[in-house]
Order: sequence, then structure tokens, then C-alpha cells
Amino acid sequence: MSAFLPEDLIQEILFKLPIKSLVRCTSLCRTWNSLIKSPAFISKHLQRTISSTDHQSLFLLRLCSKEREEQYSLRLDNQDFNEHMQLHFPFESFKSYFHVIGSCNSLICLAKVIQSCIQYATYLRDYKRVKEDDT
Amino acid sequence: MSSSTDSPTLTTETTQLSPQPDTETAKPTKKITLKSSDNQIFEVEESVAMEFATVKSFFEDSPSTDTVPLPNVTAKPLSQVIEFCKEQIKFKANPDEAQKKKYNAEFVTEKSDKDLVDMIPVANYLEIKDLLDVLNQAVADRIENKSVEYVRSFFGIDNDFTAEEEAALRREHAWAYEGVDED
Repeated sequence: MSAFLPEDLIQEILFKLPIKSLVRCTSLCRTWNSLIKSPAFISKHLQRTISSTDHQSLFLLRLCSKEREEQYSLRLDNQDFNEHMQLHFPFESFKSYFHVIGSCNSLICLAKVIQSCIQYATYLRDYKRVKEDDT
Repeated sequence: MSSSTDSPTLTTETTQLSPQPDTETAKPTKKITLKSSDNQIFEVEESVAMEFATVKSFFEDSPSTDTVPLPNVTAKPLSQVIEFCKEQIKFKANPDEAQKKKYNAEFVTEKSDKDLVDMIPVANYLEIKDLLDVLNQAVADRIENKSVEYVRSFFGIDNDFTAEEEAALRREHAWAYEGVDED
């Protein structure tokens, strides 16, 4: 642990970091790894982020080229429709596009012709394939 | 000030006139003495000391004390914390959000990493919420785009992962290690 600050004070600093920095900090030491990945920390961080920033809606944009190459990105709700972040995930929608089932707390749920469902944690850039039975 | 026993004709005059000079000149601002763990004495105005919740409750418990010992606090961070609170008092009297933001930003910008980190436990112990918030944000801003190695040395943390474990964590979220500032 830190030679300079106790854990509870460090935690308050970590709450103010954006997700990318936090993910990087999981490889700092074991204590930080388990702290940052703990459900309590995650939900508190989410709460504080929501209350401290202007609540902004994002659009999910799907671009589909003729070569059936799909691109998903999150766009800001402004005049220029600026890109907030690209979503990269190793799935192909196969034959048709993904359906957006819904989103909640930066999780996006996409469905592939109702056969399987993919949950995508936007900020962690993680995804999870959910089988038909689970949905 | 009680002149009721004196001639009744003067009473109305004296009672009306005397309170004004009294409140303006004769009321010196009360000073409170704080003593740091390294035995340095700080004399601060009562209004400043009352910004420190810990000092405030100390006084509520024992109002007759004139020196408040702060056994967990050394002189340097304490002097910086006092400097911050003095300014906040002015903003309380004359609210100016833009000026306050500007002052708070300048306050942390000119401090070294060590100064900021040393002030955090002090602000926490004295329960100065605004300052703690400003300090936490300032430290977060300083480490936000830094490498893991940099953050470790910033907080004096030892790496207790094996080389293999650390490499695996980095592979798992390789994108998080892109675009990091130079140390």
C-alpha cells in the first residue's frame, strides 16, 4: 500500500479518475486491483460520475459498408454529432445488423436476430456473449 | 452602558449613540491558537479556525481552551491549509464563483506533488470538505494520463505482482495503456 496515504484517502482520489486510468491502475498492485474491480467501488464511481458531470445522452451509430463491414460508435447529442468513442468488438452481425435491445449504466445490449445476445460494457470495452437460454 | 440610574434626560441619547462605536471599533476579531505536531504556533482568526470542523468541535467541547493541539498535523501543510481557508472566508463574504474557481485552480497548480499529497490527510483530519475535494481532483488530474510506474512512485507503492501477472493484466486491457503521457 501507499507509503504516503491511507487506503480510504486514496480511494477518494481514485473516484475522480476516468475509466481508462482506472483500468490501467488495476495493474499497479494487488490492493488497487481488487479495490478498483470491486462492485462497491464500481457502483460508487458510477454514481459520482453521473452526479458530477452534466448528464449527456449518447447515440449509438451503426455504419454498414457494402462489404458488410460494420462500425459502431457512440456520438454526442450535439449539432455536429461528434464521436465520443468507437466501439470495437469481434462480432459480425451475420446476414443482418444487430438490434439494440437496450442500454443501462454504460452497458449496451445488442441482439443478433434474436438468436444470441451480446452485452458490451462500453467503457471497459469488454463484451460477453449471452446464449439464447440466458436471455 | 446602563445609564438608567443617571439623569433620565440623558438616557435616551446615550443608549442610542454608544452602541455604534462600540461594535465597530472595540470588537477585535478573536484569535485562536493552533499548535502543530512539530510545535509550531499558528494564530488564526476565529472565523478561519471554524472552517476546520475538528477545531470547531474541539471548541464546542472545551470552550475555555486557548490553544488547540493538532497532533497529526505538521507545520508546512497546516500553513498551506490556513492560507486556503483564509481565502475561502473572503469568498463566503463576497460570493464570486468564477474568482473562487480561479483561486482554487491556482492554489493547487503552484503546489508540488508532495505538498498536495501532504495536505490531503490534513484536510481530511480537519474535515475541510471543499479543500479535500480540490486536492483529490488535483492529484487525480496529475496522475490521470500517467504510466503505472509513475503512479506507483507518486504514491510510494510497491509492485507486488509477478512479471507474468502484470503482463497478463496489461494484455487484457491493452487499450488502457495507449496514449499515456511521458513520465
